[in-house]
Order: sequence, then structure tokens, then C-alpha cells
Amino acid sequence: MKDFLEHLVQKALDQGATYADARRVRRRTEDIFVRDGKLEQVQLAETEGYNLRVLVDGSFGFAASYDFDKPEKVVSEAVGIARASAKVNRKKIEWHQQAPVSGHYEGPMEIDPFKVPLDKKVGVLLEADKIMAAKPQIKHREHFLQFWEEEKEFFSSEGSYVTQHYVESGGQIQGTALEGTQMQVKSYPNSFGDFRKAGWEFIEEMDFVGHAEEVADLAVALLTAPNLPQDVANIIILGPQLSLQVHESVGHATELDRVLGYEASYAGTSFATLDNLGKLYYGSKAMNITSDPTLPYGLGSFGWDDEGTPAHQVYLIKEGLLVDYLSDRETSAQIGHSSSGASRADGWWSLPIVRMTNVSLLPGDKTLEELMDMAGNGYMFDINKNWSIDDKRLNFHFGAEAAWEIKNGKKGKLYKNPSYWGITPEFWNSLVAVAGPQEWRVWGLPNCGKGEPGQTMRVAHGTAPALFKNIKVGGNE
Amino acid sequence: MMMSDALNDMVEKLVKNGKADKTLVVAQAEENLLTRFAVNRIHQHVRQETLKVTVVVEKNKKVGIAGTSSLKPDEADALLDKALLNAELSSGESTLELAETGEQQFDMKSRFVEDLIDAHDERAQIVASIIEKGEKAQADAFGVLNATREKVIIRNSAGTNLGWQGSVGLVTSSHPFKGWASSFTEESLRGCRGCSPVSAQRPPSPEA
Repeated sequence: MKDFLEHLVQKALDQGATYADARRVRRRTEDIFVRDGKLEQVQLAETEGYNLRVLVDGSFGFAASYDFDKPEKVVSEAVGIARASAKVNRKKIEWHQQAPVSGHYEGPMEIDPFKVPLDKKVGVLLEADKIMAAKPQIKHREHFLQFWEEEKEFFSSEGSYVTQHYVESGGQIQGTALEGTQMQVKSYPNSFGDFRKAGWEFIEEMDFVGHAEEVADLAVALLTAPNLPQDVANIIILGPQLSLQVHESVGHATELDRVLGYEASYAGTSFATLDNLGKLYYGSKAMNITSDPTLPYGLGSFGWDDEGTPAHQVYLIKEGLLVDYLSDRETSAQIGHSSSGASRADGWWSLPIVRMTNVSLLPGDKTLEELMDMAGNGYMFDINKNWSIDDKRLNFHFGAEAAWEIKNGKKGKLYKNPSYWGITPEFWNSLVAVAGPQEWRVWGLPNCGKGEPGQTMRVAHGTAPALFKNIKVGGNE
Repeated sequence: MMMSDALNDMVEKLVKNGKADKTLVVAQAEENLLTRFAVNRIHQHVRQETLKVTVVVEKNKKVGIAGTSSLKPDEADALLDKALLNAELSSGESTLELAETGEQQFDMKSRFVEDLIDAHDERAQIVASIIEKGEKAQADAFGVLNATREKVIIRNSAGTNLGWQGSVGLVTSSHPFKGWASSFTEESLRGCRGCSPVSAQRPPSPEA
């Protein structure tokens, strides 16, 4: 389809565009849902389309369509839109010129999940379900698998042409325990499932069948566990919960379009404004956050972002100091930086906007046991149950499915309905230490929402268990 | 817009497939024009033409689903085969309850919105007037102008044939306010121990 994209771009240039890029995306998805011992749904979907983004008279225009027979319509619409915007915008867009890129990115995969027989896929969930159903208090079970294949082509008037192909696999098992008025939910491996750029081998690695009994037992144990008492305590946040903490309180807050005010009408702004760049100690010295789409298995991994910027690692926070933002070619030019390579669209129909890639808290050098020893007494939080955070990403509240007491450096009794809350920079300045590379892993998050019309992006966060001092905690029914 | 004939043909072919015991087809074609503005400029101005056709079938008391965004001539057969395969592999009995509401067609086009969809300059000028008001008030204008043309078809093998086409979703909003850039204030951080927003002084280390 290179010729088709090249044709779009050339036609746009002919009509007065000073820059144009075209993308084609084909996506295939398979979703499998099992509920209470029955295969509830298998859904296969395919979608394919293309788009054209043009720069005319210093303003962008964008048009997308599934109809490959009418490229001229898409060109004239994109150019017309850009020209109309240019009449309103007094300031022309300034952005970074980019050297042409070319090549192919192939995501990692050992076993193609679309070639694994459906009864084998369903069988994994049904077997895990059967184990969980053996516990009489487990009254409700829900499990899913999702497979996602995407091929993308990008062509620009700067001479770039890149192709990308990858497969993503993920899933989850979940049990709900009920007794009297008590209800507790336990999920594995994370409350949104876990996903990777990988094939069926990742589903095997997660071993749903092997973890089913443990998940069910924990849900049942939570029914009779006490509520976490209100306290100010040292807490260890385990990887899955910490991945969402990074996502909400660092990832979104460092999106440069939010910082510049472009998302103010919908997704919100950010407390990490430009006057804080290079000055704000966002966190303690143990806090190092990067955007790194070069990680091999992350949902935020790619060869080039959706405006052709090559994947590269960028420090957002270095030893606690805010040093950069997630950005694209347009927003980064406004602050004199180069693009962090975070321009992403959730499909062929969408305009790329600033999104997270793999935004990770880099590992430290402790073990979980050492963190517990350092904590002395406190609590350990596992995976997310609920959360809220304000539109500036400053005040937050997170609830987890379970927490454990840490007593004299050892893991103690289980608590239900645990939560913790704080103010973003105060919280991250309370970070004492992060566990080392052996406990660090990348968690896939498939449902990051942003933009108008809403775009749902697949991102990832590398985390390891981390110790925070003097955090407000509590529990509620 | 939207290849109505090709879409109608595909839906017809799917509903009258002769392979499934019951069939439901939901098709949605949309043409969306969206103008977002912030900080007194248009920063996102897009046209999206999208299509989603979903078929749900019941065969031998098993249900399967498949979807596509393609109107290629052979797509209906491929889509149906996928849905039937999914049904075949489903475990347990499940049934597809079909509504029997006969044939109804709704046409709810707004001339104003229809015109706006095709008039890029007019949409931009509406935004320009909001921005101008914001600037007069020494504030920033934020908001969105959205105009959508949509066609929805719901048909099933029990004779239901519902069609809706219209132009809707026009939402204009503006939120001019002043001084948002100074959002990170001492006041908003009241109680924050040791973190000064514009200071290069490192806060005390929270080491154990």
C-alpha cells in the first residue's frame, strides 16, 4: 500500500500542503469471555482504514476513512480543514523537521495466538474457572483472553516510510466471594488483566490454571479479614498497583499537551507546569521515571511513533527532578525540546496525540525482603480496586484488592478494603527505595482514555515493589 | 456520504444468509467533524468517516459474534463464516433473543448541522467568535465543536428492520478562564512536606 499512501501525500502537496503524512492501519482482534463456567462470548473483529494529516498555511488538517476507493475526498477534506483552521489561528505551527526514517518493526512473538485452536484457549479459562468454582464462597467468576494483531504503514512528505507489525496477548481471571453482606473480588494477575507484545507464550507464562486456587482462596480469606485501620504508615506498593500509580500521577501529569492547556476542556491539565521544568523535585532521589518504547514486550513499544519519530528512551524524572515531558513534534518545539516520541493514535480513524508509551519507574537495588525490613512496621498493597485523581493530577486516592500487615519486617495478617491517599509530589518525595531488576517487570494497561473523541490507548509501566514512608492509609466498607 | 447502497446490500445479505438459525445485524456508519480549540487557537480539526458492521448469529443454540469495517464484496460471507465458527465453538446453550418490531425508518436530519459538516470555514468561524470573546475578556477559550452525520441499521431474521439516519451531536462549549497556567500554587500544595514547586532545593530525603 506504499503507493496508495504516497499518492495521498503527493496530492496534498499538490493542493498546497507544506507537509503531509499518511497512515494505514489494519487490526484484527479476538476477545474470549468466560463467565461462571460458560463460554459467554467469542468476538472476532477486523478493521482497516487510513488517514491523512496535512500542514497548510501553518495549521493542521486531518481526515480518515475506511473507503479506499475515494482517496481524493480524504485529501480535499484534510486540506480544506487545515485551510479553514489557518484563517483562525494567528500563530503558525512550528515544529521539528525530522530526518527521513525507513525500516520495519516486528514485535516479539513465539507462538501466534490466532493459530492456537479456540478450544485450547477457552479450555485454559474453563479449567481455571472449575478450580475456583470448587470453593463454595466463590459465587461468581469472570475471565477473559484478548489477542490483538496490528499492521501499520506510515509515509510522509519528508521521505519517511516505515512499516510495523505486532501481536499483543493478554488476559485475566477473577473470582468474587460472597457471604452474607460481604463481597470481595480478587483478580490475577492485575485488575485490568495483563498484556504484552507477545504471543500465546505469554498466556502460558501467566499460568491461569496454576494460580486459580490461590486467587480463590484469597478472595474467600478477604471475606473475614479486618478492614485496614486508619493510620499514617510506611507502605510497600507491589508492582501491579504501583503501575497504576505511575500511570495516573506521573504519566498523565507529564503529557505536554495537558501541560500546555490543550486538554483543559476534557482530560484536564497538570500541576507539573512549565515553570517547574528542571526545578520541581517531583520525588525523592530514588525516583527515576523514563518513557521507553524500546522495551521489548511493552504495550507502549514500537519502532516509530505515529508521526515517524524513532522510538527512544527519555528521562521524564531523574533522581526526583522533573526534566522532560511526554511530547510530540509540535508540543516539544514549543518548549525547545525534541519530541519524546509519544505521538500515538488508537486507530486509523484517530489523529495522533501525546500519549504514554512505556512509562516506567526504574528499579533500585533492594529485594522485597529488604524493603520489608526497612519498613519495619506498615502495610503492603497489591493490585488496584479503585481510584480517583483530580484533573491536575495532584490529589489522589487509590484502593487495592488486598493489603498485608508488615510487622517487624515480616509479612503478617491480611486486610480488606485497603486504600491510601496523598498529594502527588508529597507522595513521591516519600519514596524511600525501589526493589531491584529481579523484581521489576512491565505491566500492560490496555485502556488509557484521553482526547475527543475519546481515544483508548494501550500503554505499559515497568515497576518493582517500592517503599514509601508516612503515607495516609485506611479501609472502608 | 457513506456508501448507503453498499451498506444496505451487505446488511441484506447478512440477514438473509440461510446458514444461521437466527441473525442480528447492527451497522453504524458515521461522519464526524470535530473542531477542538484551546489557548485561543484551533489545535485539532478532524474529519473521521467510520463504519462498523457487527453480526450476531445463533446456530444449534450457540451464539457467535464477528465485526468488520469493510464493505468489500466478499466481506459479508467472510464475516458470517467467522460468526458461525465462533458459535460452533461456544460451550453450553445460549440463545439470541430477537425483537419483532417490524420495519421503521427514522430520518432526523438537521439542516444546520448538515450544512456545518460540509462547511469547514463556517465551523472555524464559529470557533473564531468564541476565541474573540475569550480574548476580549483577557481569558483563554477552550472547547469543542462537533457535528456528526450518522446512519444506523438494525435488522434481524425475525423481520425487524430499523433504520435511522440523521445529523446530531452538535455540541459547542467554551470554558474561558484566566490564569490556569499558575495552577501549581503554594495553596494547592498546602500541607505538602518539603516540596517547593519552583525551588531547586532538594527536599529532605525520606530514607528509612
